[in-house]
Amino acid sequence: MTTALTSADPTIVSYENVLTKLRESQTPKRASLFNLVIYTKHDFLSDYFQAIVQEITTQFPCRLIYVQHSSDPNHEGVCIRLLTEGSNKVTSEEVHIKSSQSHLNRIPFLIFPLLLRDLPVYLLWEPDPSVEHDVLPLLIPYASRLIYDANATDNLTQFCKRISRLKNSHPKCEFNDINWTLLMGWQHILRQVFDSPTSSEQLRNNNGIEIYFNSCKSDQMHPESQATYLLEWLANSLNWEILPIPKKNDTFQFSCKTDSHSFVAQFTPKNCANLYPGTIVGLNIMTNDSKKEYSIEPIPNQTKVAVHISSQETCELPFSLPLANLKPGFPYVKELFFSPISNQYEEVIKVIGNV
Amino acid sequence: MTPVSFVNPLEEENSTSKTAAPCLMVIFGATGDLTARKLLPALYNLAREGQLPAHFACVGFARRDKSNEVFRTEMRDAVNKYSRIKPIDNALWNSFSEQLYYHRSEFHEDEGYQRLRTFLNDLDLKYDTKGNRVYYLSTQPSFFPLIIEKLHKNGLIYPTSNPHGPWSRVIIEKPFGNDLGSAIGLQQEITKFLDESQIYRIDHYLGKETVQNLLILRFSNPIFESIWNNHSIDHVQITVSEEIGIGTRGNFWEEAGMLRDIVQNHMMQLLSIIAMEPPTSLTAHSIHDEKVKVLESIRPIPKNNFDKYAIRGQYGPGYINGEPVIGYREENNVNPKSNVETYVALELEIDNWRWSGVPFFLRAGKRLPKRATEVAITFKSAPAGCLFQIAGKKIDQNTLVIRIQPDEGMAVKMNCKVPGINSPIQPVKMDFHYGSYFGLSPPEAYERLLCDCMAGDTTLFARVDEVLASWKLLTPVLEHWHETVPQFPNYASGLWGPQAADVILAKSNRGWRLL
Repeated sequence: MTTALTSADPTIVSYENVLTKLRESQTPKRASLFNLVIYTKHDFLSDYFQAIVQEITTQFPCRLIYVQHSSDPNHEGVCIRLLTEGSNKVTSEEVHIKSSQSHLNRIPFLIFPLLLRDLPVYLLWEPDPSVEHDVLPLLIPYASRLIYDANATDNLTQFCKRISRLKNSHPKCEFNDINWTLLMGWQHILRQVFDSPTSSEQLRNNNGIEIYFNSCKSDQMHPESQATYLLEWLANSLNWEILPIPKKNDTFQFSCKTDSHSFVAQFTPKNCANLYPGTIVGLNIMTNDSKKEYSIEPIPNQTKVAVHISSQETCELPFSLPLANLKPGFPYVKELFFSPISNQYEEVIKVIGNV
Repeated sequence: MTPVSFVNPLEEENSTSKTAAPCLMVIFGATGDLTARKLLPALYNLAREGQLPAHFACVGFARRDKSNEVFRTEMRDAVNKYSRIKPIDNALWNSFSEQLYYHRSEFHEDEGYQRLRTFLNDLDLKYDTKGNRVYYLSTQPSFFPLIIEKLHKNGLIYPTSNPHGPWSRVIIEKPFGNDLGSAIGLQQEITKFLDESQIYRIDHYLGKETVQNLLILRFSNPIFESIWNNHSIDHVQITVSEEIGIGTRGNFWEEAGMLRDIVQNHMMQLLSIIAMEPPTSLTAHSIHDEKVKVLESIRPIPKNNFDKYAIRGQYGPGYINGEPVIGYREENNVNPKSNVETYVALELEIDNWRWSGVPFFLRAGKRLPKRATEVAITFKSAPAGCLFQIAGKKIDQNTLVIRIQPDEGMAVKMNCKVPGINSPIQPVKMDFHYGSYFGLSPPEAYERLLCDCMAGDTTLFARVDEVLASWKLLTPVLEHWHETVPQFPNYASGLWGPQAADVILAKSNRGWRLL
């Protein structure tokens, strides 16, 4: 059942109707695990965010509050639409709120009464949350988790600085970047590949790292954020010092220092149209004595990577490892929304933001 | 082999996630039902979810002659039929099945084990599994000592004296023995060649999400733990009810019976989790210690009063879901004069500070009206003379029900006023259904258990002293039943068991829950 209430300026009566309909919904009371507020500055969500929301709403019952900006220059005000059955069988209810720019400041006040009590509030924020001042500041004190995309910002360093500050101001809220969650599969792979003292030492004192990332065309400003996170994570874990080298063409380079020597880390773009912009699509690591090379790359059409370890004398049999979180699916969404946020993420953004 | 002292710098500090270690798994009895229905689907789903170790292969060991390809095809059919997630992912299956192999041998042939050893060594090199081994004994229990002895004799089991060396573990299916004496005997046999740390006794109930949730429910919700004692609880009922009969398992059932098949293992595990004290830590050792303590606190059933505390039954002809069904004695491979029980009801008392005076009623039966496994905690009644009992009608006792299967979840029954003037008090339920909240099908028990074995976590496996404590309690019941002749059958299929079972609760003015 859809109750469409369009109003240039919502009156209390109209909005009361929405609340009443929610309470008196004729559908049987269904379970809800959490409140999910989705915010986008466009008329629609990007494909990737849409895939995440689709996965959530088909797996987890929740109250979904979807807030959009209206791109219609003639539209002034706020529209509210309620779908008591949800767009699928699992979601409890969906409330769609559309607002013109000048009425954004009303949004939090419309959202508060819609939230189900005693349940967590998750915020899925499509634009850069660190510079958003209309809606987020009032909602975030009540949020359990804020999920965003660092690719949406124009300067990753400044973003990390701002997000760190925002995080410190709201210690009760967990902050999760979808790029960090996308990276967790690669972190797990690296833990498994370099899981002995010998290989760990080879990684620590390597002679060069090349990280391939998906540079397919998109409106994402920072397709290299995941690669940056990966490198900073390695640096943080293995005590490297990293200094950027001026960008050459589309390739990013960094000078990395260990206790004993230095090496170059490079981000190399690769075009993979069917993957999210910025997704890591391969790794090459050369050991310090240049005797061994580790090459890790996804196997086409599979959620796995092939690991090739070769040296001048020998070429070991390649083996495969599962690569989690390549695309939105149940495990990915579970990581994004439910799993505890890694301390390593906090450390990485502090380092990137020089905080 | 990764030494114990190596800490991967890429791991998160204080990470509690378990990782299954590289290993080769050998399934003895690979052509049997369990492999097809449970083990291979479990391994496939672990692979699907990225939980299988990076370096892994599985070898089916059985007596029938077949090739790797035939075995893989059969397992594909099995996974297609029994996996909780369908349809099968062809690309995943193709890469997974390349890690499946078949080895033909008799269980007693040394030559077969020598060939196996050579084969496993080759697989070690191919898959870099570091010499680690899991042996799953999916065979008749009578083969356990033989297989373990042969594994040891042919160098397939390693001593545990070298903590940095490769490991070997053996998973054993229940039942572990038929009574106390045989369980002790079996333990003595297998520990000639295995350390207790290498023995993983499977009780698949412990792998169920709902059973694991019992610990979470008890120890992460202070509201419950504070009333989880004899001050607040009147009694506990644990029920395992099946509507099916023994099916094609007549041969097995004639040797086993309900007490051995269900009560001694699954139900005693449920009871120990419900009744245990909080462990000092979440290590396997601490949890097992608390379970053993509570099992050893259970008062032995009085020898002169067996018939009041331990009831057995056998189903006769009746109706299930409206359809006529035959009695146990008419089933295939069952002695027409058999006295094997298909129903058991027990009253147990735990003699400790927490539970003194709180009876635990256990019942398990086949051909009961519906399938249900649950634990019901009934709380004490409101005091006599209480305001709301003045009208003479006793108000319902509060009950916390934990549904293990099906319709997994929990419910609390409480009393509520019916709207209106001069209205009565009516019990209502606060109900939580796993399916409504976490719709996706949870991992099957075997997935969790196989993964835990590969990770070296024994928490969800039965330790020998738990098993022996259960046998110590129940063996006298078996002996008494062996010496006495029952009047069987004593309940019709489709009813809730023999009348005698009602007497157990009736004598204390209680009644079995209607499920």
